[in-house]
Amino acid sequence: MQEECLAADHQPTLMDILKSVKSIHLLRPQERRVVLREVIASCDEEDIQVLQRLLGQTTRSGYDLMSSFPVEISHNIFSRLDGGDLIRCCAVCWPWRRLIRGDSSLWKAKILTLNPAECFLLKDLGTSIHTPVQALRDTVADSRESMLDRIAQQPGFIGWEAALVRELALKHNWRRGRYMYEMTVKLQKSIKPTLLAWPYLFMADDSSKLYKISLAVDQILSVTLDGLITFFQKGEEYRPIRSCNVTTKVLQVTPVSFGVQTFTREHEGSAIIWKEAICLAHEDGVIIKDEHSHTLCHVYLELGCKLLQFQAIADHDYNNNNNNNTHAGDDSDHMPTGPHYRNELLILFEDPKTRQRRVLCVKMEAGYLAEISREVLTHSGEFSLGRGGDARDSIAMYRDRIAVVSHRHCSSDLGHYCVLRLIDVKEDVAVSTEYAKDDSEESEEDEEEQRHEREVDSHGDQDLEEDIELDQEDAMKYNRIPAMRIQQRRRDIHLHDFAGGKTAYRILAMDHARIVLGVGLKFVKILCLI
Amino acid sequence: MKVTLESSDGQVFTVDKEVAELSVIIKEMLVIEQANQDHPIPLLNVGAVELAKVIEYCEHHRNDPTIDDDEDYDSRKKPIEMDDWDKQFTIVNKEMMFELILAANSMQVKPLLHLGCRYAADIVKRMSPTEIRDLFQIDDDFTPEEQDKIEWEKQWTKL
Repeated sequence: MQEECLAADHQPTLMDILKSVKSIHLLRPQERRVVLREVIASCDEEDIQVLQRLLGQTTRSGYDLMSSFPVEISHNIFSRLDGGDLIRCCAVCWPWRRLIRGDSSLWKAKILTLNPAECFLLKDLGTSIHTPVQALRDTVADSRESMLDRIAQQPGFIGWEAALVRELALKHNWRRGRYMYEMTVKLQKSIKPTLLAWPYLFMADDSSKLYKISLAVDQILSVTLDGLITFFQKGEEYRPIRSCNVTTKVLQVTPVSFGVQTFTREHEGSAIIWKEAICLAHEDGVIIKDEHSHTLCHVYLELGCKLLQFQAIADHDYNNNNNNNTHAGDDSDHMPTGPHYRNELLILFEDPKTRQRRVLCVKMEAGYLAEISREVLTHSGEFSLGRGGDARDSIAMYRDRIAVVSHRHCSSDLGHYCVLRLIDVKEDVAVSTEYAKDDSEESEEDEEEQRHEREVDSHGDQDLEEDIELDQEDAMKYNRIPAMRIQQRRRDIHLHDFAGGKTAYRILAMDHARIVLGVGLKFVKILCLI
Repeated sequence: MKVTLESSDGQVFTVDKEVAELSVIIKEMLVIEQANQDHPIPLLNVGAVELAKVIEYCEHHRNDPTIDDDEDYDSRKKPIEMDDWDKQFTIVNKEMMFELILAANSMQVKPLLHLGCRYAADIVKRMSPTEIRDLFQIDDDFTPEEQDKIEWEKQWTKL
């Protein structure tokens, strides 16, 4: 037992002490115990660990190897596990739990590998300070960690470990088609609500000239029916800052921010710098313009294909922001555990022959200057995106996820029913809700427990601000729900026939954690997956 | 040039200097005690069995490029290549491997330390808490209230 020697404070050599320790068996039991106690008393912490380990080897029972390691080794081991593994390890025993939960850097490192566009903590909690994406854009690449530190100082911050549990819960719910919490907003007249970025629900009056709206990092832009695009800068209120005209009929407009990166190109002898792109969709494809309204490129669908929706994905590679031309569409094995940085357009279109809906993935060069490659995503036969032609179907996309609400007419005794399908096109996962025949009891429960109904007036710009305030209030309320109660509120998503088929469901918008449904003409239901 | 190493239980090993220098500790010792090379270097925390295994590893990796920076071993950035020999090397029981991790840590043989940690992490990956408890013979010491919270956290980790 070498540690005994290390701890001894006499001058004799190692051999002398070893010799005397080896003769310990000559002593009487009582005396042996005195020696042992003395040895243990003179051990330091590390010696004790060694001692425990040696004892464990001798007895071979009830001894835990992992928690006997020095802290730096256990940190090294645990840092190689993913979030789910960490949480499972926390559930083993108290020594493990203390060890893992005590090490916040483990959890923080896991949050850092998440994609900000799909991370509840970065996208939602960050919004209360400032759009985190905005914060990221304004800072240099390696300060993403300091951004996390700033989030950690926010009043609503729940701790890294709890935050990671939430991220897992969100992912879990997506994969199972469940939500935790719902809100219902009653509208006074038929308007089109769009979820911009939580907690902003933008209401557009059908009768106005406003046709499409979209949110960039810190601004919104609108397109009117006559093709006028207006940019609104976010300040105390949204103010128009500039506008431009397009001649094509625009189906969808999506701004794309390239984060800290800027791109340069030659134009008539002078260099033009751009740092964001605007994607305008028409029936045959997507036009990509920079923020100065110069066209960067066109992405056309094959002849006859009809574009339904698209998503522009331009993830910022904060680790590699100085290198503009790499990582275009790079989601190969370069970063096995990190987020996948991609530059691509996901276009949902309808095949002219079969009327089947399909997704085209177009990989773009960084900066969206040109197309690199394209591929139509194929899926295992388990699910399909449905067929076009049914005007009552509605679709929303958020990154790789597609949500489809479809209406079916069955036999006379079943009548109309709605199905909500959540499909992850990249992971090839689909969840379909079931048709619930008799939900009357559940509906009543809904009314009492869950529903937050409120009147929202939706005329003009001033009222828009009111909406926003209300939504923020709700968001605050939501943040205060204790973790344990969330579980009780979890429910599977069932869309069922409402009022004998007269009330139809439409899907209006979705983001990483919410689905906005229109119920009939006067209700908007927001399903929060976390 | 040869170097002699002495394990905690008094066994002496003679190895090439460049092999021994894979251990940061020994490398530093050799610099300090240049004059005193006749005496074996005592490794008080490493038993003979483990030391033999560590030397076997170092012999095989003697020609590997040295990596000084700890960051390079960071699993998130660049997983270390594990060749067939390494895989063969790690086919030992977990007690032995855990002893090796400690030996590698006290001798500061960084590639071996990281190999061992990776091995240890692979053991617990995708395992349920109950399986881990059985494997390491650990007792469940949570109270029922704590159990509830743990169950709540755990439900999200199901894939």
